[in-house]
Amino acid sequence: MTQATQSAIRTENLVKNFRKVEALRGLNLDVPEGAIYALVGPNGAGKTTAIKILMNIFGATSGRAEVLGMDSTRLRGQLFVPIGYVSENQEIPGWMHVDAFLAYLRPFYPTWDRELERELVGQFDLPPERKLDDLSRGMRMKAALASSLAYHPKLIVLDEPFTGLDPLVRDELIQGLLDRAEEATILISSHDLAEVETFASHVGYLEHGELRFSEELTALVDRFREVELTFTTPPQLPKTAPEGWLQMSSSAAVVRFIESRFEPERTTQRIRGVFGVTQNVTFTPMALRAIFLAMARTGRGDT
Amino acid sequence: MKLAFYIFWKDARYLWREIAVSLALLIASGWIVPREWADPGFTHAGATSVSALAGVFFENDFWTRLLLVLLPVSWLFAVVRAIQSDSLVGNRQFWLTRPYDWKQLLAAKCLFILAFVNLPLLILDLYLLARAGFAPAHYMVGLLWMQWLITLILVIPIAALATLTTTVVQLLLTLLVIVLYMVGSSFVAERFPAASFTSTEPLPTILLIATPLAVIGLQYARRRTILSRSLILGLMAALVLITVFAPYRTLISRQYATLTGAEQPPLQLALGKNLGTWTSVGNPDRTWFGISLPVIISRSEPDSILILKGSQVEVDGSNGLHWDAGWTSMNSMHILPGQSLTTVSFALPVELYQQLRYADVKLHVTLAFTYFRDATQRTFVVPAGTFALPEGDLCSTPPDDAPRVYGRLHIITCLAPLHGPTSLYVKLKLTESTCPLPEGSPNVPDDATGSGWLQSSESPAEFGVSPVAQFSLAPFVFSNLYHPHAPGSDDRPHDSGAYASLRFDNSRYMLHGICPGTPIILSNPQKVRDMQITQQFDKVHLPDNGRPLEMSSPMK
Repeated sequence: MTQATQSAIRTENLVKNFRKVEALRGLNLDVPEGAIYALVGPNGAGKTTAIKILMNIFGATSGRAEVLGMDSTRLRGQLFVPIGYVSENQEIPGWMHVDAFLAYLRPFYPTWDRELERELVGQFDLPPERKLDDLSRGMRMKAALASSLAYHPKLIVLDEPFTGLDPLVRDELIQGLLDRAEEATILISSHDLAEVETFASHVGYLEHGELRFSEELTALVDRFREVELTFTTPPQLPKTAPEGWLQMSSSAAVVRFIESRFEPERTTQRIRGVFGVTQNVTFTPMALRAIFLAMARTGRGDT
Repeated sequence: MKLAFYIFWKDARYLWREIAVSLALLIASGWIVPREWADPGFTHAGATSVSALAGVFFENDFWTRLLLVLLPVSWLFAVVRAIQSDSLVGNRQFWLTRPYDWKQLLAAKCLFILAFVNLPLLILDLYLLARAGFAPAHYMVGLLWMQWLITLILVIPIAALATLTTTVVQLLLTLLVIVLYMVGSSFVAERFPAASFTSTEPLPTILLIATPLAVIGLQYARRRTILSRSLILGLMAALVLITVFAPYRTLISRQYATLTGAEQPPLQLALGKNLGTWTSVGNPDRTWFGISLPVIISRSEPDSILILKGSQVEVDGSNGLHWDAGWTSMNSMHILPGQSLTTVSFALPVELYQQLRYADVKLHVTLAFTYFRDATQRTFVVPAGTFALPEGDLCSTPPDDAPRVYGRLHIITCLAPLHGPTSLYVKLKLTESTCPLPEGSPNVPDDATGSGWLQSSESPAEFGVSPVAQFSLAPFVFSNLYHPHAPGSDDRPHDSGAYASLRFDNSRYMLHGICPGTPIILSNPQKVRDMQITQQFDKVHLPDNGRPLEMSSPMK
């Protein structure tokens, strides 16, 4: 089986320009089948643009994208049957009651599961007789998610689903999502790293329209460490930091930096090569949030 | 197709209020329109004072007209809301990422239009025809044609705009821009007088039909809003460009062919005695001089009818000077049997006028007109009460106590299926009128006649909501026989059962009543052809007004 058939989503040199603004600059994204892929990055990084191109809401300026093996520009009508898409700013028919909204969508999906629908309505505590317009933001998002899960989609695409939601609702949404994660590939965009860290299997970091990295979350967390070196006398910092060492700083006899290619033996050898003998070395695992902050600062040129 | 029904049903539930309002208006129309037929005297009652104008608001006619406007407006509102409920503009709509096939979505909206515009209209039309006394089954082709016209002229353009907008307010603003465009383009058209009587068809009609359809197709199939909006702007620009750059002289010579040498001209022109001058505004430099020529038309067939479309005057001076004033519109003036006088106006530069005014000139006057021949005359004695005209239209004379036009004037009111008479000429010898004249009325000459010509489209039906056309028979008399000595002395219409006195252009005319027992001559003048004739007038002395007059622009 080739790589293409194993990818639920794949993009090649995807470029999108809005007049003079370059929203995407040659995005190469690969979301493996079965993954829970978190596309993260600061506001304006191009996450929503990338997703809208994948969903054929926008056309790309150049490059191509494949979704479930199909060219995304062909994605319309019945081809959306295996796809669930929920976005924070999606306009849904607010005049409809929750149950009427779900009932309206049923005939569009041959795989619609009434039992699952009931289960989701119960799990999300959705009031069937309430108009969508009368629901809180969180409840509306739950209704949208329920309407996108009830037909067992192969691919679930969520664009900033947790923005502005209280923690309880977030947890409910995540739980609802994870309960169905085994049967689907999930692409979720977010700038809320704390939530993503708890359930994502893969993560991609998008900044200024470019994918800085994309890999499995465990591998990412494994290769980042906060390193603290203690010396007997203040050491001389190298003029240029070795490759992969980020945000190097010193204070008296202590040097700190972030190692982005951590391997215990290799990192220890490199430290010895740069600084010679050290009194003490500590490697501290980093949270995803800390990793991205470090990446973002490095991207901006902060020291 | 199944999904189209689901979307249609969703729209129907969402827009139940709009649908209910349009159905209520439909029912009200079905109730009030036949009442208006029963009281036709209200229809044409002129509001000659503020109190009369206020009174109109409480007459049936006002409500009928209002309803017949509100009903299509309610349909269009519902159609716009239905289209915008699954908006094609923007990228946040939930349905964009649902299994909505564009063909199903378009079919759902078409279904909505069929169900809540076309079907109710058809039911209303069937009811109105039956209520008026016509067998609806005989007029199905015409009824379907009416549906087509309503859809083509009203629904499709508005639907196209709805596919380009997200809210009703946005659509209304777009309509406002279009109205401003139409006002502006009418100003442009005024600078090309020939545009009013020459046809640049079929190009404008093709563009007007094809562009909204293309926009709807493009929006549903591809949601290319910018391209679609550009198409609308392109249409607007194209229509103006056609008006500006149309080769009018070529079109006129093609549409109004000159008679061949072997053909006898159906009319002769003679110049009246008093050449006048005319003024117009907007010529600050006062560089143009306007002249009006009284032209007397004599016909080889006295019962023929002319519709004057345009005129052109060329001036040749004895000193070799030549001026072609170009074509100007004659506003489709009707020259009925018994009429012979018309006016042809043209303008020439003041400098040229100064050189021509002291010597005789040669004038070439060309008229472009449509010629109708009247060949099927028959006499019909008007019975009392309700009766059918030979054409099949149902007419009635009003009861004696009914309120009538201009007080008590005996006007025959008629109902016709689908449209008014294509061509119906009515002639009345005043001496044969059975309408009682007021005491002291002078005798009218034996040859005094009144006449009226009703004309409407030859298409299967006319554009509108009601399939029942209403018209009245009241011959027009081109003099004021009963008040010959008081022209202009009294602006109020003088009325009796026999006649009503009217005032137009500082002259008094009469509308004559038709009472039961009066023989009238009916005929159906048939169009012979569009043509143009030119007549030369030698030794004409231009009016010696000497004062430059104002006019808007030179005419093309």
